[in-house]
Amino acid sequence: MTSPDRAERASMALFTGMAILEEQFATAYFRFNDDSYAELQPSLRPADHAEEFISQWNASALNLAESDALRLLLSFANFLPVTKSESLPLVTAPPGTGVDRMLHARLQGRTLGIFDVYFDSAASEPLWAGQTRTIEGGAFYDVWTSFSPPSGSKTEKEAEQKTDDITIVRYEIRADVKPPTVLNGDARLQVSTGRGGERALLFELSRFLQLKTVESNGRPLEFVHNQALEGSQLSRRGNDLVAVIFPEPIKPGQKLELRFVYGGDVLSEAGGGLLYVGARGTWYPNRGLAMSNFDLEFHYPLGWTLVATGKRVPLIPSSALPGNRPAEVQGEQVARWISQRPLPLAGFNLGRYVRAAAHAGEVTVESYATAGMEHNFPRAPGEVVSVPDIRKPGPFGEPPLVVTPPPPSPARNAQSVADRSARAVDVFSRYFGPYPYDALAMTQMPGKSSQGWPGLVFLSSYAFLTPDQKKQLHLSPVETIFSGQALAHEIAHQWWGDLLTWRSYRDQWMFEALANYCALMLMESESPSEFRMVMDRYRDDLLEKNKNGELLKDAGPVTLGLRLSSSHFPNGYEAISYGRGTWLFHMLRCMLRDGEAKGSRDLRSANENEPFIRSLRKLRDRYEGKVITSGDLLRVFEEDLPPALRFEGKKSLSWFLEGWINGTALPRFELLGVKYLPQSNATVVSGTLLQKEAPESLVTSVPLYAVVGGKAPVLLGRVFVDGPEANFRLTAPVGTRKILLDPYQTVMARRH
Amino acid sequence: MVSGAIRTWPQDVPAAEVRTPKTAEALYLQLRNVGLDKSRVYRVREGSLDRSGLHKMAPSPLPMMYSDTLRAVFSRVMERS
Repeated sequence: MTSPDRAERASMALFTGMAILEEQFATAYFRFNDDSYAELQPSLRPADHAEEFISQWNASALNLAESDALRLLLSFANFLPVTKSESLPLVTAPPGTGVDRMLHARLQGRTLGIFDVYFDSAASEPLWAGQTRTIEGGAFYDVWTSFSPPSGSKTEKEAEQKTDDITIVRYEIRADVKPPTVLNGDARLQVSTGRGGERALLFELSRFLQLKTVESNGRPLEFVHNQALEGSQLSRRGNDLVAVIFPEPIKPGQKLELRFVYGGDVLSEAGGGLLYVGARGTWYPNRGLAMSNFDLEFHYPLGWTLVATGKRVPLIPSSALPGNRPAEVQGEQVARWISQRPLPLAGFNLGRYVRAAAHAGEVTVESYATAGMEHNFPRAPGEVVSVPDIRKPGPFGEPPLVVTPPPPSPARNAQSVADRSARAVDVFSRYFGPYPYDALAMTQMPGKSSQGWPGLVFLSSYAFLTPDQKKQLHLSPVETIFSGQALAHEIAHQWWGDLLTWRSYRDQWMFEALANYCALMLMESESPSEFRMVMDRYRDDLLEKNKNGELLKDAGPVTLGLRLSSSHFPNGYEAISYGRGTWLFHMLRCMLRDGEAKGSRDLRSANENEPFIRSLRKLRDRYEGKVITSGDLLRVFEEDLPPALRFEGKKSLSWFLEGWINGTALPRFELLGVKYLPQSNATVVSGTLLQKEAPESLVTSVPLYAVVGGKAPVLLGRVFVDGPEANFRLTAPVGTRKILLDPYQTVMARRH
Repeated sequence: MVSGAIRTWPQDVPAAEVRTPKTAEALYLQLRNVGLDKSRVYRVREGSLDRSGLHKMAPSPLPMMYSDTLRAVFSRVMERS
């Protein structure tokens, strides 16, 4: 199995020790839906000892059959009996008209153990290989490689034809939320189809939500959702996918109204008036991130506050509702939220919240926090206080008095969170264009994680702590900084991740890294030292080694996305996407700034006029409501690429894409043989710039500065180093006796 | 093994011998519980499966088996069309 590009071959080498998968296997299990049998038939001969073979392998075959069943259902549903409806004439459609080829091989390799190889024409990357590994109690599926067929091949054309053309135009969801655990849903989806021909469609829906009925245009549909799995089996063997089967092939361009009725336990009580919404992305049937319109109606008990994506609107008078359903029912609240523009997803949060509000221009920024913390929130260690009591002298003295600080109350800090959030909205609106909605809700969520959804942020309880309260928890300085950064990070996602989204897992890094970098730009303007501390930490983490002595940076390039978290590097995705990705944006920003203006520079002067931010604004204007790739991002930056950044004279950042985005380099730079030649009104500086511990093909733009007297370093220019070394010759101010190599650390490089 | 290649296979097994799933759930459960068929155990010699970027080869004799659980489904479809 031969991967077509360097990054994939490196990934293969990380897991298998070889860039090309070439392995002898003694045992194999193949499952396919195509003509593989015909391919093999000429080589088949009757076997001896058939019964012995069956007794040895039948149990394994039965066990392995499960993993491909849902995929094969999509193929074989085409052969189910057709129920001809009166309203929809039977359409002659597949089988056989579309290209649907799947081959799964599970192989027992002589040196690599058991692994999988897939070919699936329905996948965006039809070829992939990988292996399940368990490390220290955690199970990982290591994806060794994943790629599309070589350009121009037959299989590439087949794969192109299989791109998804099912669009969910609108959702109407009625949800009954019954704390502490239950959610019942009734979701109506307006679906438009493209080529048609499908008998089955897949949707995401939490495995813990039991699907009761599915209808299409009022007719009941069959569905498959974790059939024959119950209780604890659901967690271990279930999945969050539903296959919906149509009575006849979908017609080209057909409009469908699908209705799903479901319910189950997807909430849990975290304590302190907080609920944990455990199926945030799968509480309604969907087909992944895709822009759509949402009309949400929630019913929930009195005493709780529910906040959702979209704009809260007055309820429709009960007389206008279907079946004269009462808008307000005794003992419950009803709220309706409608998206103001297409959103990639919808969600809600609820708790026994206190509300605070602030404003960023026309935008209302609210924060919702509870009076107490979740049950498992760490308690601040007690402090020993000596209280001598002269009235009761004893032989052993008084026992120490331990004073434990009272647990923090997020509600008391709600106004501060709202104020800080409003400031972030204000700054980002100036940078990246208007905030996309009327309001932003910052809602407390138990745990350390946060998520930024359109107009709705699930904000970790930790982000509601004051600096003093964080100190009491003995968080490390970097942990304190990171928890403080969450607020701005999630707000930046309103632009990067919610307004624009990623095309594939290979592009997801941009949004985490960019949201992170936006938060860091705010931090940089307020506290440059903290900014430096975070950037140093990100870079140093990449040079940490795992137990095998492998450097974390070698987990792979940012474009491997979630594949980066593997048995070799369990936290690879976070370290690379957030850490390396943030550095990539820092490099881009500093390159563009240096390329546009020579001379002294002020690192704290982030503003809407600097080229990096201008390009991001352009990116937003061009792609809002759309998906983008890493290439789309770079093309926008290339449009205004200053001459100083044109490698080999080309207005292109392909060198940055190839070497830095699609690579794992973390080089070391050194100066060699620097000479100073005084002239009448300048000093000519020449020498060699070395690029070490880097791939031969790596191209980097490195800034050089002159030191003159006691003044701040002066930018001389940026030098492209292509490979191990590059000679340079620059004009410096009169009196230059020393030059510095990237003194402001704008290039991700080893420092020690 | 279940294979879509059944479409091209000679119709040497009467459809009645294999239970035909009438519903999606039955089909899914059948796909999830496919075992081996002792009447179809073969040895494969010098066979290969090729896809762009992928080549699987069995250079030495290798036992191979498949199941045609879905044969009847295909048969019905073929008959209808």
